[in-house]
Amino acid sequence: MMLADARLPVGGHVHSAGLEPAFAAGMPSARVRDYLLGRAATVSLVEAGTAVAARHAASSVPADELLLLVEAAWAARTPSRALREISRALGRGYSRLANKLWPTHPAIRACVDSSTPLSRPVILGSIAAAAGIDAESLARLVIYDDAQTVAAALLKLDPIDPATPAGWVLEACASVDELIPLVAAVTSPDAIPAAGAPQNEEWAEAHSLTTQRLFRA
Amino acid sequence: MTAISIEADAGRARLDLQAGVIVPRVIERGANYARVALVAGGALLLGGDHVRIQITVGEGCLLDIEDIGGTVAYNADDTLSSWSVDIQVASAGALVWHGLPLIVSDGADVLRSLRISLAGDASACIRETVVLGRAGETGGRVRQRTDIESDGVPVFVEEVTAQGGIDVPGVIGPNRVLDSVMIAGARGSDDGHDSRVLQFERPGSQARYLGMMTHSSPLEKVWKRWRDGLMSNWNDRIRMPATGRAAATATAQGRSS
Repeated sequence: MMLADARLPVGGHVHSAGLEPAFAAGMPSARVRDYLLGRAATVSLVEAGTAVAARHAASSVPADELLLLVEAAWAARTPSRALREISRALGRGYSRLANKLWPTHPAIRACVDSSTPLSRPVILGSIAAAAGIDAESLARLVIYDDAQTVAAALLKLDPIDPATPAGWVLEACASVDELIPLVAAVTSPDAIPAAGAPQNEEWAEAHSLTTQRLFRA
Repeated sequence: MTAISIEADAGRARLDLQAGVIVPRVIERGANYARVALVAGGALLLGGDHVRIQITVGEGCLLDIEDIGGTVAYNADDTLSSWSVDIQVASAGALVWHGLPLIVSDGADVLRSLRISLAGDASACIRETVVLGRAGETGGRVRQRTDIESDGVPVFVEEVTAQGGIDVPGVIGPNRVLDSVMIAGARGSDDGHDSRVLQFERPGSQARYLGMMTHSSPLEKVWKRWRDGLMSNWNDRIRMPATGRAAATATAQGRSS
């Protein structure tokens, strides 16, 4: 529950899950519902699959090399450098928190001591291993968190009745619910979903170059 | 299945060509270089058609492939057809392929897959274009899977699903044309004007254009720049038979598509 709470001190508030870049590129707010549905079926599934594969890797001993293989699979599915950078910045926040809460757990040690920065879903998967969160709950958490990030950012960027985006979040999560068992069954990095969202990548790269922005991505 | 394989040899490269629905034809050949055209052997792509193309580039060889004509996936009442390309490039080898558009008509359902495996310092530069719908159509459905790896490490893995008339913001939006130039085993430069370049984590880049019209795509310039960059490493390495040398050099330097 705590991991899906925007008030968790990990720096998630700097992230709009691509919404601000989408608005900057001219997407009207009337399309946010469709944006959420599209994101649930693409970016969120990649993130969820990565977290699940990382959870599996983090449960092995030693975990460090396996986690790097998961990180490499995620990076190959995240062709935008801007998106890789923001995810690793968020990963640092989660890693710091995990280091306080589970300082001795081998999966968390592997993350904290990693020679290269790890992405948010890889750290999240390791936290799931440390905290005993099962794969299905982890997959749902990642998808929900991504959708909720969009909804929360919408209220800052183009305020509307908060109940409206809450309904869209439910809809977005439900739209991929039948895929959850498949995503939760991922163990090998090769099996991580690779559903791409080219327009999102284009918008994120453009956004990374602007100075007038509320969110980093 | 169509298969093309090149291995360097003292006088002329050994080329194994196997014709399938797509027929390979040699345009020119040197000791470690070949230019091969791909010609459709019949009407393509109909429902239930499964085109497979396998390409193997031997150590230190350069293979330049060109499409003769684009491909239309015809209305098939949603019967699946597929187009799978599997490319292996050995160390110090390179593949250059300027693909022409795949046009996905109303009622077509196409699974298109591209796998590239590079070894050592091999490289590949590929143009890929998908157009949803012929003139006046909204277009069928396409699932485009790309897997690029280098020495077993993934470089770029992506699956884009698009269907004409279904506008999902963030995926491809209302656009009909998904055009891309990809390079792997080397990086493509970004001149900051003609398009936005994605730099992969491992050596490799992609320039993409999402739009309504193929002729609005700025990627021809990117293609020329990246291809010329890759080919410039080969100017001194292509070994042609004595009479063909001048022609091959001209090809390596001058041709833009």
